[in-house]
Amino acid sequence: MNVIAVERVSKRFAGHVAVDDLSLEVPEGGIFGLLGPNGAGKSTTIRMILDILMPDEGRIALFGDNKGARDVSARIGFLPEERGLYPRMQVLDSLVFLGQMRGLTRGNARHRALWWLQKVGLSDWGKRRVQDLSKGMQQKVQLLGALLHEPDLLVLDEPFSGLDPVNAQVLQETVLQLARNGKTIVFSTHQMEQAESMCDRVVIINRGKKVVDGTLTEVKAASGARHVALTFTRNRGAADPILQDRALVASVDDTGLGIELELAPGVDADRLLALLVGAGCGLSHFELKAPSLRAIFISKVGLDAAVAPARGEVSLV
Amino acid sequence: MSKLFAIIRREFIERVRTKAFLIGTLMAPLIFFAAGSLPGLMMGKASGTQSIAVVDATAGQVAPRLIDSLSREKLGSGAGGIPRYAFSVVPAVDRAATVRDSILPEVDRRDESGDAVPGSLTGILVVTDTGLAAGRIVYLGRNVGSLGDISHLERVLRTSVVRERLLALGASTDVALAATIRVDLTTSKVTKGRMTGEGGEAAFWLSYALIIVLFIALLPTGMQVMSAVVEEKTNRILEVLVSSVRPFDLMFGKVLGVGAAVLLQLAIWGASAALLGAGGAAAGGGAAQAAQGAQGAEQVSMSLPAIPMDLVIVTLIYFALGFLFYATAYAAVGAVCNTIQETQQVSFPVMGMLLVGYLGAFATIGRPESMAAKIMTFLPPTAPFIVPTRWSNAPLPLPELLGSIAICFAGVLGMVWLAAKIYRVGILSYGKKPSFKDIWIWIRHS
Repeated sequence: MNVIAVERVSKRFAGHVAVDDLSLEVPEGGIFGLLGPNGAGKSTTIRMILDILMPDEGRIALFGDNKGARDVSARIGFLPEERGLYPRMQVLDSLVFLGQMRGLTRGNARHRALWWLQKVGLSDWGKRRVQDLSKGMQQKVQLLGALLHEPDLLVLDEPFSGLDPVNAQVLQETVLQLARNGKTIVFSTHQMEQAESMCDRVVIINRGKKVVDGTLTEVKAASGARHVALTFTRNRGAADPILQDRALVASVDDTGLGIELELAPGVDADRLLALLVGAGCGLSHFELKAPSLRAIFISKVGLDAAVAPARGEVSLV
Repeated sequence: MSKLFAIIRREFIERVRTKAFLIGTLMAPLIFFAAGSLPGLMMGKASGTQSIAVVDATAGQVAPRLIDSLSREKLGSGAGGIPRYAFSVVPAVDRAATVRDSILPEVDRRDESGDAVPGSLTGILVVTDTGLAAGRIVYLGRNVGSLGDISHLERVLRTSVVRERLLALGASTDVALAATIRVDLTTSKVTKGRMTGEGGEAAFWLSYALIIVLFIALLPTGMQVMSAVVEEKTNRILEVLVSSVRPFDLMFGKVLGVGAAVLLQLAIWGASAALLGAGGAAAGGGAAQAAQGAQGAEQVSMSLPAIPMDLVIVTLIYFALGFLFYATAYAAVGAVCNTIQETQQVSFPVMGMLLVGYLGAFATIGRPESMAAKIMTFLPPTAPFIVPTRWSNAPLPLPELLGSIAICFAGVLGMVWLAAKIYRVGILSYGKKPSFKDIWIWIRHS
């Protein structure tokens, strides 16, 4: 059964199409990555899945049912990209309130909130106001608010943005643990390393359209062993004319430490190696490999879009 | 339903817990008490019997007759009343100024600590023949700043002077007395051929007070809901809430939660006002009457109209309907705006409706059966003001009342529905302030 089925959904805002004829399916269990550059339509898609926005066209089914997300809200947890809590409310009260909004009784919500606060080391903060907490603590509290009611489906919109490495690690472990327990996690991100280390399935969208869809293995296999990782020892500059020749190389991702490139169609790795050696480049590493998610992302979305600076919040109207 | 209740509860608890609520709730009765009792306390010395020396420079020694009727004036009503004036006549033919100056030091005498000395005079009346002929009597006193005291003295003296003039013109004592009998107009309101037992003036003041109380209760409560919505938008918690609760419930819960907090505050104020009122009346009955000041003795002697129970109920019903209507309208304004500053521009249609109701109610005080009053009875924005005002004059026929309540209730639901639609889109649109055209698009498309 698909936990989420999005069927040919479109959403337009004044003057631009945010989501364009998008279909995707999220099977039960595991971690699903909704990937794309800033402004690709990830948050809009998530908002439509959660019944916060209405699609202009198409339909969305949750848990194999046509009920809206609000009708099954007890089974869904949501951490929005725009984090927010009532700043003057006490931490424990905030969690109890969020739990009640997801259908827990007051007593049950309180019981679970106390347990979770203990687990994440915030039990001394229950009676403090939210505004007295550090930003990292507030994010933890908000995450607790999203999973207090043990949802079957947890939707996290850019959960790692703004987290320090320690808290990011805590979050990652929490999410992996939930997935091991059979829950379905959907999270959006534009950080491909994070996605590659966590996701079972990914969908990459760009300008509102789906460009990649499948399990991580499938996606990598579909890209073929067309990727080459190489490291230069000397005469790096001599390689530039070769790397910039689009008849030979489809895309290049230079991380500074090494280069990952995608071969152009019809070009094999031997030929590239011969050309580089012939040009006088010194190489310490040349490997034909399955592409990284980051490389797939860049080849599908384009380097410019992939590293484009974050745009401001796109107006919804 | 339990979610709606949780929203109401959160809004209520978080509001009641704030320092602002505590301070507002405690301070307001103190301010009311101070405002109500200070003038009385300041004028308190005038509340006792006024001791007045009459310098009589008339050839015919008319002063004793002049003050005869004044001596019967009482302060307070019934058997418990004390004389308002105590007179002492000083004959002073041809030497009014000398006598006046000689007793001037007796007026408002104080000891070292500034307290009034017993037996000191409140003031001096100087009566002369030329003055009487010209209609002029001189009064020198410490209470000339009190409009109530002076207008009373002037009124009772006028009658006495008219009588003296009649006698001087040769009228018999009987004629003079008969001609100057004081006329009191006793009013009684008649509704549908029956006396209601209230005075017309009392009904007028009751209507007047009702309108003002409704206005000052509705405006700030609506504003509170509005700023709560703007604050919530700024906190960006709404996305989580909207994904689990219907915007309608979110909006309605917020309005009811704020409403409950306002109600609690009003109840505390009402109870403290009743307590303070009872205590205040026992402590200084005369002071309260003196505080009536310029309204004069008639107002003082007119007991405050007892507010009929049916009027209280009708007013409460319409306060509730008005609160729901305006609070929801203000919530919609809050949903459209990103900052409190922006709300000032967007809220003018709501403010306009409030003012139409407020001013319309004043216009109908004297004409409760006019066409305008009847139309405004059936409009949700104006009915909360108009119906209690009309009711204070005369109860409305039952079908008219029920019809009005039904329309108001429908208006409230319509407003909640409309506001929820605006809310649903408005709360998630940050950035530029939408135009009224944008809002219309939201209402149609959301």
